[in-house]
Amino acid sequence: MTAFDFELIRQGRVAAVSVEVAALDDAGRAKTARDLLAYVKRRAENHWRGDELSALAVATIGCVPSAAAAARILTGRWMSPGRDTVDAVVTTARARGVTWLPELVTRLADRRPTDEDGRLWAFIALVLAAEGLPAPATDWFVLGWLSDLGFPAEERLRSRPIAERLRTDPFLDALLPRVFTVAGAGERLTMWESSRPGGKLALIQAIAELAAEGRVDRDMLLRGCLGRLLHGDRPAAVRPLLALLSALAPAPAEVAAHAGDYLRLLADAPSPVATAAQKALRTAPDLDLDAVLEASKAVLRRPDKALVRAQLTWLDALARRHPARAADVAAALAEAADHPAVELRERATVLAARHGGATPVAVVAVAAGDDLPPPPPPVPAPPPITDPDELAEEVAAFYSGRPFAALLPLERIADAVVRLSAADRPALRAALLPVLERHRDGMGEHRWDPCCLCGTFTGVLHSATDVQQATARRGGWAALLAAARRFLALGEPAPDPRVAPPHRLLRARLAEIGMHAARPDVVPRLSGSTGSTGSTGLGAPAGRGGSADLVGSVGASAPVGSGGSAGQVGSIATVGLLAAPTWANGALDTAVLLDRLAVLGGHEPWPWDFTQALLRLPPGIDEPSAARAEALGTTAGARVAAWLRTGGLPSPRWHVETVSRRPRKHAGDYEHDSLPLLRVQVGTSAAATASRPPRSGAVTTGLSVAAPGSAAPAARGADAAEAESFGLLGSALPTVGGGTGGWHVLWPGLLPWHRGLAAAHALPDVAATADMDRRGGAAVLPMLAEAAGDPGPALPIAVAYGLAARHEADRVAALDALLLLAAAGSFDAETAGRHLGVLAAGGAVTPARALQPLRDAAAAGAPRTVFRLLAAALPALLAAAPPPRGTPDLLTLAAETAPAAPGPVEIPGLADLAARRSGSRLTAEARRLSTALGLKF
Amino acid sequence: MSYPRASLTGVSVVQQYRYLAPSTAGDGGVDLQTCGGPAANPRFFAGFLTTPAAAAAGLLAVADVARTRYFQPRDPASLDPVVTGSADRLRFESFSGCCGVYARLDALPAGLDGEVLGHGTTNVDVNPPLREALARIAGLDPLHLSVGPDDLTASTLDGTVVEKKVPLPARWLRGFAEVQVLSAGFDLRAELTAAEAGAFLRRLPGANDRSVLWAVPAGRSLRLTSRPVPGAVCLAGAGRLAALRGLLRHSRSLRVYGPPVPAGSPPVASAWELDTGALRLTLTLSPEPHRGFSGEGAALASLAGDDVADDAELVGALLSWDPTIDVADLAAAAGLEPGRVRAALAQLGTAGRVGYDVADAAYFHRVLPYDAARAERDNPRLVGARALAESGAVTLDGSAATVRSGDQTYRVRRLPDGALTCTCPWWAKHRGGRGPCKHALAVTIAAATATAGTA
Repeated sequence: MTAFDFELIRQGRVAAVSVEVAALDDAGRAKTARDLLAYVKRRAENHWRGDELSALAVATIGCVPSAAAAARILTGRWMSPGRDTVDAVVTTARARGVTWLPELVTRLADRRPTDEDGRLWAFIALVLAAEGLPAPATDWFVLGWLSDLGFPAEERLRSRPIAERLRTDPFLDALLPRVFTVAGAGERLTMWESSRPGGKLALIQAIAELAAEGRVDRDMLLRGCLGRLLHGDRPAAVRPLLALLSALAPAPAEVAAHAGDYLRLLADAPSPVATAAQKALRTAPDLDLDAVLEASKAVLRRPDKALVRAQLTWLDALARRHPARAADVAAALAEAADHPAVELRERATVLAARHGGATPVAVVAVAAGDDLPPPPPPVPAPPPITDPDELAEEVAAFYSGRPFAALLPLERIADAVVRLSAADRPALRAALLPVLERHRDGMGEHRWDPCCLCGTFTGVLHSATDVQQATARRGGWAALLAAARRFLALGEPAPDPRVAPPHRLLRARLAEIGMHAARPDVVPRLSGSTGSTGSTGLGAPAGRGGSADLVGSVGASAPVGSGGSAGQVGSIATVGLLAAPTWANGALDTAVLLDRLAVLGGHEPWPWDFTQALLRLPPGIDEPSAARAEALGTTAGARVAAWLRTGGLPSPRWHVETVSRRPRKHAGDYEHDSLPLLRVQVGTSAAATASRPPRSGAVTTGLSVAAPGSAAPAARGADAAEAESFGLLGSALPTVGGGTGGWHVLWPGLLPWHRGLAAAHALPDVAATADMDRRGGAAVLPMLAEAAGDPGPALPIAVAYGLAARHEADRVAALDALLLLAAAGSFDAETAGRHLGVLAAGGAVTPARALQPLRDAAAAGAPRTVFRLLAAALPALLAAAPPPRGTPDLLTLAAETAPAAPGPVEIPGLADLAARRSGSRLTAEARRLSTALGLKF
Repeated sequence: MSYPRASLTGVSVVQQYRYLAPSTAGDGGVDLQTCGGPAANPRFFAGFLTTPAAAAAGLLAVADVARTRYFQPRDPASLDPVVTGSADRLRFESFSGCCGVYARLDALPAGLDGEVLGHGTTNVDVNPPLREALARIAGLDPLHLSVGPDDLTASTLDGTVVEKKVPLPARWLRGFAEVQVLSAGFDLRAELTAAEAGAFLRRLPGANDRSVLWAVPAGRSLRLTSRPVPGAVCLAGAGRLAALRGLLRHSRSLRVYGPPVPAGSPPVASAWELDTGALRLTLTLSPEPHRGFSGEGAALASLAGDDVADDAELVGALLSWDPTIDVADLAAAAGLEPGRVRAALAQLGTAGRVGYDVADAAYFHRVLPYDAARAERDNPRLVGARALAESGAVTLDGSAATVRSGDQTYRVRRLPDGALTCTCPWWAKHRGGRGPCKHALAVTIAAATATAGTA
């Protein structure tokens, strides 16, 4: 006995293997069968195909005792039998007289859930055809059959007409009925290429041709189609079935024979199927009227307007044909009397009345005014983190979700890092380091993103846990702080207007924490009046000696440089960040800040932290708290007192500008094509006139020089007073098209009492959801609605944009914001509506998108707000020529909510449109609104 | 060319069905064939369906869920639904192949005109001709229904026997158990009329949408909202409600159930129930389309103490196929406090021996015709936790513990309310929303061992 030479398989020498196998005796075959299994296992990663696989197959079929044994060898992960393997298998099987080939084929077919490239299908089909065997029961074999009909694996067949091939197909009778039972098989009835005769429908036409010849059972096809349509499938699989049904062109009598199926499709199936069923049924004779009426009740409740309209017409015709049953038909017609589409309601009412039905009760009128639940009370911030392990969990959670998707976790972590690092840095390190290591990926800075805080935040965490790291990063922190001083405190124009001032403030605070982690022993202080530009204490704290100025500090002098141990009683390191919010929306209670300052005693606060804390205080003049702050007797206390007496951040002046699309720069300027035709932007400037020249940027005119109120000490000078506004007012507007890519959701919590300002900065991101089809930008709207303060024009404009957003999630967020604002009585519906109208008329946003959220708002109890918004939007929409798509629906909604209007309303352009002699839907809806408003036309 | 044949987690065994004949439906009635459970081919019901079209739509919905994978749809799943014959009603239950959707059709006394002949739970044969026939059932006259083979079928054992072998993944069984535990925490959130329900369901995104939506009651309907707020219901993968469509037009109302959610809640499960008066169809959706109920870990939270297991044995012996289980009665019969009875019922739920009906807010007796308890015991998370605890990876210190797993170190804390937290990415992602993580379980086991050792 000679051993089988496996090298022949590797070389793909099919004939040689065949000879060698034939020469084996029984014992040799048994041994080779075992060796073969070991051999393919050894080469498990080999991609088996071509001659190499054929040689393997010849050896396998020639040696193994059963189909199971053959399948064990030939069904490996990378086994790819195809047409090129067929001859080897069939010839060897015949030569050896193997009887288990059908079983082997079944096993191969069962082994795989799919067969993307059709190789396995071709292999199995050709083996079956060669042996005259029936098709296996696997679903994918049916799919493969259809694919092969469209594009045969055998090249010589490709040029032959599809009907001819189908007629002689060995699997036709077995597999054609299964096309209707395999999910998704309908999809493969259409051809990929349309150049050949019959185009994409060639196979469908061929099947119909064979049915006409009587080659296949026509009733089987009809029943199969209807059964599959009843059962439902993916839309892409349903369309070809509808095409097949229409190619079969069932006669009216055939439709009547399957009337039950057709009526079910009419009542329940997706719109295209129901429409086809309706069309077929209307030709059918002698339908059972009761069954039709029963189905009609379901049809008339469907939202598809065209289907319902056609059904009403059909019912009207039926009532005329069967006068004796008119009352029953009228009862069925009345089903549509509360259809959401008002024109269908009216039509149904008219028809029902014509056939003697009772006039259905009119739809309940909308209650006057809004009826909304009161806005939810503010939510307190969760308690501060006290345990290093808890901090580690929060950091892990921060990085496991979408980092920087919310401000509150960031604030809590920053606050805890400061305190816990000072209390016990080794313990913090032990707790945090494993988490930081686990989430190392994706923690770096994204340099292409000017707003990115990833590297900064990670740096803070590393600095807080490791002195060496902190020291190494000092240069970076100093640079960030210097930049913050230039752009925020000194008011130099920022290099990238996409980074809004509140965002710069956040970055400065993180840098400040990082810097202090490096020098825990140096507690910087806020300087008094130094008079020198740039040393107002808002700059880099660890810089020159100037920032350690002790002038004005009261009480104990700051502890300086007492070695490595940090966390002296009373310092920021023990108090935690002054700016840590007490409310979930980012607000900070004045009393809490004063408590923190009292504990802080003579220690100076960190400047950017202190700045943020002041911005989080409730605005308005608060004399009792100011007195309490002054009584602290510290510089910081005096600063807070002055802040509270001036009423905080001055109210800005708003500049609403509508910017047209910039001109095309060059032929390949693809960005130009994605830009909106119009964009509304809101800029701000300080209320007081500026002494500086306007900054660069489209709209801004300057920045605050003096805070309002006389309490601002003149001694502080122009620069110091200017710092009061922290560069938040009058920053340059970004160019249209930018947007921050999601960072704007952090800003409402940084300006919790100045949501108009936060909204102005966030507006480009929100607008892009509507006019650039971006996703997710409107998520900021409910946050802004939950913040406090003057919404300004920016918030209603942002809501208007959000209502017309491309994606449902954004529209829903805008709806949430609208309802929250309306419930609080702080929604400027006129501003929102006016801008929605102008933008829609100018082609920048799609008003039809706003219909559903506005409808929902009306249903949720804000019909008056919706009406006011629509009344403000309609003049611009009606003035456009032609009015944009969706205008009739908005007119309908306005008519439906008009009873909630606060008083007489005049909508310019409406009367003219209503008086126009036209049968268009626009005119009809305009008339309806005019009637609702009580106007004559 | 690659064909990933990812083995699903856990042990897969083969489920073998042997029906005496295929189930059929037609003008003569619906004959459902059964196998397994209390007998080889038990017979539960013979009588009439009072609302045949609605019942057919409901059965079809249950069958559809059983054969669908909503997440990563590949070859259809093929486990048959199960039916439970209670004292006065039939409950058809199924679970989707992706383990993310649980469907139950309750044929209430008003929907049945006939006799429940036997009690217990068994598998029901569903085949393509039956599905097609069910889709064609219309009309208003009562239709005959039999569940289980009649004497004729049983006596003529000719060649019509249907045998099916399908893999029974352990995760499918775990999901069946988890969903009972989760739905026990549901409350009614909204009730919509059929018209409002239709309008709401139709506007939802289609089958390919995987997003997590939230809905709050607004006016007479529900409206979508962008964020979880108190009173909201989570609707994850709205396309998974497609199975409700068929029954919608026979329904009077849609009721929506969910657990209480705080503001900012992570996604949670929800139940959507259509009521026709004679039938109730409930779909329970997992918190996210890619999450099967099997991994929710709700049952792990009550990692059984010995006393709960003993109570469960006692309570389990007292169950008698009542349509709903009355805790007070059961407590009196068992001589246990109601609280202990509830804990015991939750434990029985994890073993597949009771189901939970949100409409009645009560458990019902149902014994899955599978060994479901084994699946829960072999939960991969629990297996991993045991391995960690046994290898001494847990170091307890006070209310916290350090767990070393491979080269990673995790810290587990016990909160004042007894819940455990961890620093692992899995816990960070779900924050307890999917039960305790492997490390927290390991700490529980280690702590129990330590207590037992010192006692």
